[in-house]
Amino acid sequence: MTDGRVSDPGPAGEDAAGRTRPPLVRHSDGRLLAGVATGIARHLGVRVAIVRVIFALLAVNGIGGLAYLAFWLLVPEQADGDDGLRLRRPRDFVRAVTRDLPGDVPNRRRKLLLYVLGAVVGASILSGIGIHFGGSSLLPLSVAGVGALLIWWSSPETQRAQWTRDAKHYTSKFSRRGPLLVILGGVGLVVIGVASFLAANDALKQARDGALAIAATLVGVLLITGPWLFRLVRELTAERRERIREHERAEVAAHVHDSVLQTLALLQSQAEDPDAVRRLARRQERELRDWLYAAPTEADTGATFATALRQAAAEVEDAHAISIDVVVVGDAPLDDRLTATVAAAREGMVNAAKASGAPNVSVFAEVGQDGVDVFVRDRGRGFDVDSIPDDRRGIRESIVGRMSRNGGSASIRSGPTGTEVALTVPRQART
Amino acid sequence: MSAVRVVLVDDHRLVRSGVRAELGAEVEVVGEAADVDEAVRVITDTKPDVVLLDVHLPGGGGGEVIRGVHDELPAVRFLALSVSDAAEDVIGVVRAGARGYVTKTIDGPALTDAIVRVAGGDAVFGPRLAGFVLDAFAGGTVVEEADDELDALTQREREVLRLIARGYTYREAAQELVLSERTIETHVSSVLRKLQLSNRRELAKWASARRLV
Repeated sequence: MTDGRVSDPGPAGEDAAGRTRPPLVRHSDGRLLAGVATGIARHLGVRVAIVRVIFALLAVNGIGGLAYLAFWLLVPEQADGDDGLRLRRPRDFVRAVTRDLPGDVPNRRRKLLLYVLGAVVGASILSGIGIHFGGSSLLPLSVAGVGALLIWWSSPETQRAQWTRDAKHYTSKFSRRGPLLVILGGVGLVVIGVASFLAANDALKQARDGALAIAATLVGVLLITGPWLFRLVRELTAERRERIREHERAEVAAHVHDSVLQTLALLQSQAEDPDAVRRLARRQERELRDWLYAAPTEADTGATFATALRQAAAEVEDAHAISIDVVVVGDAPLDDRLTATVAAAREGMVNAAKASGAPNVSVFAEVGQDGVDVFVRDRGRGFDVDSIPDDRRGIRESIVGRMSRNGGSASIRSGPTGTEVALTVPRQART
Repeated sequence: MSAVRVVLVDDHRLVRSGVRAELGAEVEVVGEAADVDEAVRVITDTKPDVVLLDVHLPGGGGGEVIRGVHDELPAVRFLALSVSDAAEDVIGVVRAGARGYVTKTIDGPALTDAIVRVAGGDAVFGPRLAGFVLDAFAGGTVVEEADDELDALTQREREVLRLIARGYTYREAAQELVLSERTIETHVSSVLRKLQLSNRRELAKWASARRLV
């Protein structure tokens, strides 16, 4: 996991709450020894006393002292801090403990003494109830804890912010307080539970150290890798989704280029011809609709009544610069009768487009169990159905004649509010 | 009768100004909104009679707006306005509570008429919505056979929907069936109720595809 990949919405160095975490440096103001505890406390945003107690308790088995020295050597001092503190020779250490330092807190020595005494007393109490700080039981845990702290400190800011967020995510269901406290509390409970159980069973004495070490290691591994594994899975999913989205976007872009952009170019070149513009716009709208909303079944099964009727309407639209709204309920595979019905309906649309003068035509078709009904309606000027001249073959032959030859019928109603051609045909028996 | 107070909700400013220009004097636009949150705020502030609602909106879609204000302002009525041909969009927003659906190609007088109708408590079905409903309720023509009265249309409702799908106005449908216009409106409202309350599989499927159950 590289830092560049971390999906960090905020600037580096901010935790999930948006606070800026101060850098880990030793602070000379407010320190008791070298400012390590103060620095860690400020960096983690916890009370300095907590850090000191932990250091003091760990000091009983030696780890705390070593860790303190390690931080003292590794962690730089605050840039504008005093330069009076050096740890080069043993006597420097003695001097550091006893000397009055500039910017000291009051009663510095008394406080130091308090922590040391507190650590001894606390360790005695704990050993009294079976937890030996000096023993091997808590040694691995102490090492692990200090190790984790060192890992934390040496990691880049973005990584720390990510860990914090992960931990918060982990624990948000249980607590609104700092996630660190929850994790530490959980680990502490587990350790105390295991320790007291083992202490109460002397028979298991031999297995005790090994089991505890394994448990501590497992818990540690889980704590460190858990959030990372969780995040890895999440990122893989996100990446896959992103790839699919990218693919779809490319497809849309290709389609838009092939159709919409071409049409827009054509529209600009034919801007002075309103009929052509309307036709082009309408055709593009239709194609886009087909592409966006067409039911997949229509594309799969090939020629059906509904697709054929829509196709016919599209052709009439293109040929006559008119808008045709097609509503189809149900569908059926094309057979001879339905093909003839579509042709008759098409003739009705052509007639409406040519003769009615209306800007749009409604086509409604319903495929029922027994038959198919098609209605072609316009709101243009009607005509007298009885006085259709014989030479107008369109209506007589192409609509009425065609339907009756195919076992169906056609009726035409026309009046001042428009014309409606109604076609009906029974379904062919399936063989 | 005073003008019907309307809020326009559409994420395209051009569409809003176009619709505003087309509306007749019977309708007064009292507010506009471009997304779900803004729509809920504007509707709560202005308490209009009718909200003209785009099906596709940033922030959750038209159905989200209806759910956002319905509990507080049950008197506000919604008319869906869309270019979408997708059945699940149309059925989804109607099932969320819209009193009707018209396409954006509708002309000004027809839209004004539809708004006034919705304000009066009627349902507004265009040919396309009528077609979807006939499709969704296909089969089970005889109402007595259905387990639930909500899951089937009566013969009369079917006739009315067919005429609307053919492009008839309510008035023309009334003449055709020799009924009063009021009766046609009653039938359409009854269909709307079935559309909103039925658990018919096709409806549930369409609605759940848009998570608009």
